[in-house]
Amino acid sequence: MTEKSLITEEMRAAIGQPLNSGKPIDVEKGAIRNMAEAMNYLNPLYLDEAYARSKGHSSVLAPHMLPTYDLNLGAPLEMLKFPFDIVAGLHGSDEWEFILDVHAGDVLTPQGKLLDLVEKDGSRGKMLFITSEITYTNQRGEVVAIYRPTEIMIAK
Amino acid sequence: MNVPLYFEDITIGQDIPHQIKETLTTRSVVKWAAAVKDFYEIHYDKDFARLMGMPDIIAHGPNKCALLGRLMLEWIGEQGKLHKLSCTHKASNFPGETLTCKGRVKNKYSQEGKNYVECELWVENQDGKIAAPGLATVSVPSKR
Repeated sequence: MTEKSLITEEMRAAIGQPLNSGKPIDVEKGAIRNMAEAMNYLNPLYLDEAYARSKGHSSVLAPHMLPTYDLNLGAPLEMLKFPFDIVAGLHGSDEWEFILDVHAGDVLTPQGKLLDLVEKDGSRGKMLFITSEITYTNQRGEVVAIYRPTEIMIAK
Repeated sequence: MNVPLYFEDITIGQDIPHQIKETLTTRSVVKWAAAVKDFYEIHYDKDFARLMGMPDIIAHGPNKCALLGRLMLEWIGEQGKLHKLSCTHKASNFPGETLTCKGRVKNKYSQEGKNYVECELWVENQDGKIAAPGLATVSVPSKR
């Protein structure tokens, strides 16, 4: 039996293409507090403006993962036409590079691209690993972080 | 937590002398959902989660990654910097489980005036099952 690849030529051609990863994010104090509380990490740099300023920050510091606020993790699925039915989708892995601090008042623009497609055999059958790369740039045009999430699609 | 951690005080192969322990609850999972605006139903709708073959709602993978980041930040303190963080999601975790974040120093080196420390990290549940192994690179000040 010839096994058909999960990756079509059309899908392969999409590697490197831009993704619709979402709108610019206004980094707000409330969102910073919500993330700090969700991590149960009540760091005064995240919560106390005066403390953060006393440590040389322009305002409260944002947790490292704040850029993923409202991220369109499904962006690759909008772009790719799969030649198979999906049994389940899983979030496979996270990879981060943190380059500059992010503070309340910053505006972050996400720019995503499809980084890679890899096919693997797993215990639940054939799986497609979809890796995106989202580069976050602040209002000064500086890259603050790069995020590479991998989503796994299990094929029927 | 604000006693500075210095490069000289870190030994390759040592366990990170700090851990994080958090018990997952439906509330904690929903708080993360709201914090990142990830409202995929598997994270709060038990019926949907069961349709997807899960016994209960599942915690978000990036929430576990964030806890590994917190482990590093609490260890290195405000003088340290987190540069890289990654983790792979090997197992789902459910409300009622207790997650512990642990780590070990893999390597340390100085480059371009910075003192880098690479660590292996992981999130394990109450049975010692590793749910999310990961890696981090931090830098810390030197005494010199």
